[in-house]
Amino acid sequence: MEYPRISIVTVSFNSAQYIEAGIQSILDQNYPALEYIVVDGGSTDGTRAIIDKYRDRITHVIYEPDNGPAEALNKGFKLATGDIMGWLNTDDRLHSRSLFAVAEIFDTLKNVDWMMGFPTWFSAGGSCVNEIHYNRGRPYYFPQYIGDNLHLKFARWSKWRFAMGDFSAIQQESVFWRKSLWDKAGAHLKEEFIAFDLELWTRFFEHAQLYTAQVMVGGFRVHGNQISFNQQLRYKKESQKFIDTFRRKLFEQNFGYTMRTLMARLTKPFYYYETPVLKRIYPQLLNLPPHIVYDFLKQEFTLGDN
Amino acid sequence: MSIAEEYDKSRNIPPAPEMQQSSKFFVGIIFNGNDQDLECTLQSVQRQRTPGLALCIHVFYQEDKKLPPVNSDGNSINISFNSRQDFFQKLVGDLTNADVDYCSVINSGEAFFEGAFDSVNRIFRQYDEIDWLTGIQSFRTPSGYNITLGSTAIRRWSDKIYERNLYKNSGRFIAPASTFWRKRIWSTVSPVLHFVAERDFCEDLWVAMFRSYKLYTCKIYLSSSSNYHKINKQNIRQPNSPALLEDGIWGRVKEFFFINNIPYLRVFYRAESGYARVIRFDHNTQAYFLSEY
Repeated sequence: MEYPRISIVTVSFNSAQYIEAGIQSILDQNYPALEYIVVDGGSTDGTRAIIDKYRDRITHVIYEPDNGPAEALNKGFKLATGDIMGWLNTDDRLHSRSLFAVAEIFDTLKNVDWMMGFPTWFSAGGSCVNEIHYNRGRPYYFPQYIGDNLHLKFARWSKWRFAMGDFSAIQQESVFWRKSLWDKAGAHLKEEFIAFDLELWTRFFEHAQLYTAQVMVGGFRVHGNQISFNQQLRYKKESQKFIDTFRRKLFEQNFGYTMRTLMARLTKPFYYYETPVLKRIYPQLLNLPPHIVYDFLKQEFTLGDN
Repeated sequence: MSIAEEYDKSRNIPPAPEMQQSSKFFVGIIFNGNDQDLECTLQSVQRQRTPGLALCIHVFYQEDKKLPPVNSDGNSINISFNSRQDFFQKLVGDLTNADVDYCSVINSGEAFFEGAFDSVNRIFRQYDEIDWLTGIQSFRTPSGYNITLGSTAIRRWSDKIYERNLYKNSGRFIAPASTFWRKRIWSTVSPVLHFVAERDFCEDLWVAMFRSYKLYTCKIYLSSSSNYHKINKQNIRQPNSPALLEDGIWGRVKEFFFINNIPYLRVFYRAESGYARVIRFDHNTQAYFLSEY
């Protein structure tokens, strides 16, 4: 297989505590066609010294002040030339060999324009913990503790389901997309928002399906000092606004939106709890794409059953 | 009270323990003859750079095999090599003589997740009643990708369930690299260990441990296992267990509710099976807690 060029952007600002683990998780994979771009917005805590340590292995380093992560990411993505793109925040990490897995998925499955790996979380100390976080209130029929067999059911989207708000967050650390999709969606992040990732997903959904894979790609480190925690209220408000706008647009474009989503809500428990036959209704109503699964016999990625 | 507050209150999470004392780990690596596999496993051990951990690595291999050079990491990692035909007996002997706190065995080619030893250390320090535990594992493909399969529910074990599973050939197994035990239980376990040459070493080890101790499952990725190809051919024992006969339709229905986490209905299977509780992690307090599911 000829490895496609993968561009990854990391933006940093006073992130000395965790940035090295993040950089190592990318560089130590030794992916042959990696374009790694680091943008630092004026750190004063030793972050730059850590970046400089790896400078010979980083394709571009930008040291200049910015007005937030979205602006810094835009600077990085302007330099990106890869066929596949993604970004990794300084405190998060990629799993070993994940870039090779992403390359193989995009190479094998030509109709996949953007994908997300199996969502994982890291403790502050770096242990990979399997606990799901989801934004919405727990529905009445849900167990108090959500088993990981439900992870992949949560982490499966179509634009319909996204508009319904029935999902856990799309885990940005595990998301990669083709450059062609990035260009179609406007090739920029909206700098005035802190939920700029979610806003980008709404634009992506207008052009392509999001496929979720069984393979572990990246993980979110929960240490309580992230933007999504520090400014949780603002993040949630913005997210809700984007989803509402997206929903209105779908509603205006599709006469059957209300009936479709109502039926989906009613049939959702069958889907989650594997009720024979009935479990197929929910994904069909919402046009959910199949998972990307790994075929151990053929040793390749393929699309699973619906 | 909001749902979130109610949820937080219901968990009763103890504070994270102070981690000032050091802990020693014994890791027995069973070398399969492939140098690259050994390197991959050793690298995963060397990545466990947590202050206060001392690792004692014993590599077991067949005779007439030259090992690749291995770098031990100063004082914190001590590596020794044992070349013996009867290496399982040697492994047991080394385990008995080792001056360590916690033990594990790993097949070369498998890898520990980063932070695995730290998690195990914290859990054992926090909960004295836990004598051995197993994590959830991902499967490592030949290309080195980590694939996730199944749920935590199917990674829970009691002595009865384990015995039944051995006969059923269901494809569920306890991955050695995800399983850690306290050294203090070894004096109880080693006298009842009985090895049969054609059987998997760890199967006999787990049977011996289940006789006296409950196995706790934790919702943490501790290792990635490469033996997915054994899933359907690991069982070599004859089905002569009365436990098999207990699997009626009602038993299967209860198991279905449990595996699929269906509220209220999942309680029956758990109550009957005698599972230990699940060890979980709370991101807010960065501490572990015990939960029924």
